[in-house]
Amino acid sequence: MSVQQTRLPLMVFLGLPLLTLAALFVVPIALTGVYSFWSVNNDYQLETAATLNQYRKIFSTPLYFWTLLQSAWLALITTVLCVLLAIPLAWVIGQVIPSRWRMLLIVGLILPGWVSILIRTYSMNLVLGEVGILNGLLMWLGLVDTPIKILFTTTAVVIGLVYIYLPYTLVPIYVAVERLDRSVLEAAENLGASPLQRFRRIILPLILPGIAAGCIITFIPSMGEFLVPNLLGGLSGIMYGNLIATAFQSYNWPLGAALSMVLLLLILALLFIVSRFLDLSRSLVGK
Amino acid sequence: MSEKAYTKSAIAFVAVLYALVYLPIALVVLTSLNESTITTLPIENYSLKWFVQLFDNTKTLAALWTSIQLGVLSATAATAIGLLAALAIVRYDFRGRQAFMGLLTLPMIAPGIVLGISLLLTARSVGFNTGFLALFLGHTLLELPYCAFIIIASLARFDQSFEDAARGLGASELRVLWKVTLPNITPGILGALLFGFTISIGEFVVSFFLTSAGITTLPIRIYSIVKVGITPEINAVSTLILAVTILLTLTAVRLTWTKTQP
Repeated sequence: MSVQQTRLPLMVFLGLPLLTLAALFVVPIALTGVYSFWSVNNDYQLETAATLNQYRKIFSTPLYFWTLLQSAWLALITTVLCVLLAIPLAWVIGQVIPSRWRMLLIVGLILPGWVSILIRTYSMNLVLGEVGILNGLLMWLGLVDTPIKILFTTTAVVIGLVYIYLPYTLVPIYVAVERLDRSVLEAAENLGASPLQRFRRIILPLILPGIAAGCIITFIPSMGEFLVPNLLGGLSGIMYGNLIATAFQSYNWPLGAALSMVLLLLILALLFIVSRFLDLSRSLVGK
Repeated sequence: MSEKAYTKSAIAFVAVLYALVYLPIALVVLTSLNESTITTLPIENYSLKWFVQLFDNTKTLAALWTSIQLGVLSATAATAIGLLAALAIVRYDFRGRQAFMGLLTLPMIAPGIVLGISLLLTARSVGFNTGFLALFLGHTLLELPYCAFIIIASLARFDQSFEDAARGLGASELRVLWKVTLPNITPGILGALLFGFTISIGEFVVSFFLTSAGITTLPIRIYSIVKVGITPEINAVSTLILAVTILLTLTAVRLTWTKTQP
């Protein structure tokens, strides 16, 4: 009907968002890709002859390679811990607690996710530091005589990462759990399935897309995290993001760009593999 | 395990997690009220002196002012652009719609450090100095996906037949948009503005690469002080940001929370 004909052209709406994403995201990432094939000479001048030197350097320098592995490892531990906390949390809030308390309780747990990462990371200093509350508690309980060193270790980094990212892990998992059809669970129970069987055979497969989405929005940012290892990790707890920042601060932009591209390609590969198994944009956006 | 014991332990589990999540934040607030310069418990005397001293620190005040301006401007831009993107996604069926949504999601999951350095490289390459404008563009990009998806959810809930009715009565497209669509998604738009501002006021990594010598945001200012040593003043600034963030987020949640929850 004529209703369709009078519609404004699509580009009226799509134009500015596309331009913004192109100018501020696509072009900058592409430019980073270009920089990664350049180099700097001894006077820190850019040399724009294409070379694979930066990539060669990354994969032949143990520090870079080792830090990449360590970051992936720490991000993996973080993701596993977040998921192990998020599943029971989502279950209890979404299924066990009376429904009128649900919204309040879940918002209360997601709320810290909106608080500045800087402030939350910094607050971990007050907990984990030498005079922090954790050491105070341990000494008060008589478990240790002198403050134990947690701050500036990889343990502190993982604790910090779990603290920062748990709200993000929780959102998609909670959405999946809350949507579970009670009658399916009751049917399984009536047919004699044990709690463990119900979880493994019924609940887990149904909330798996939510768990996968939770893993992705936890693993990817923690893998590239810069601030948490910077403030809590000290020397032993550095992560890949710190290498990128250091390369930039020492004016070796091509190296920093190549380090970034390696991280991005790893992330894209990961997203590609996961998206072959499930519709990611649906589980991420929760629609 | 009996049903009752199960429920009890489940509630205890949530309570413990709540305590763990809020303990560090509570520590920041408590220590900001400590009169002594030692930022640890126990607190001997409560006082607001660190908050009062903030107002004498011109550098921190300047950073606060920059952050507020940046938050307001970038949230406005991101909400406006996000609104356009949301209208395109919800109202139009076009080729590449799925790809566009994917592109829109990417800045949300890409590591902040990669976004930060790629924007820095681009700014330098086009002969553009870092500083307020660069920060504004960076923050707008970061907020855009969130603002767009909040408005998409809001638009998806709104009954399109109202728009068709207005069209049927002869209203022009722009008039439909202005008089019917926008008034009906006002909570979503306000929510997007508030969430955008919240992201901006707390943002760290991208700002870290885009600040210039003279222009600093509040989180960057806090970082530069924390790197040297923890001071009670930092707890006071952090408490201020915490209070503003929590207040704005709760308001935004109230505005945008789906009422159709079962």
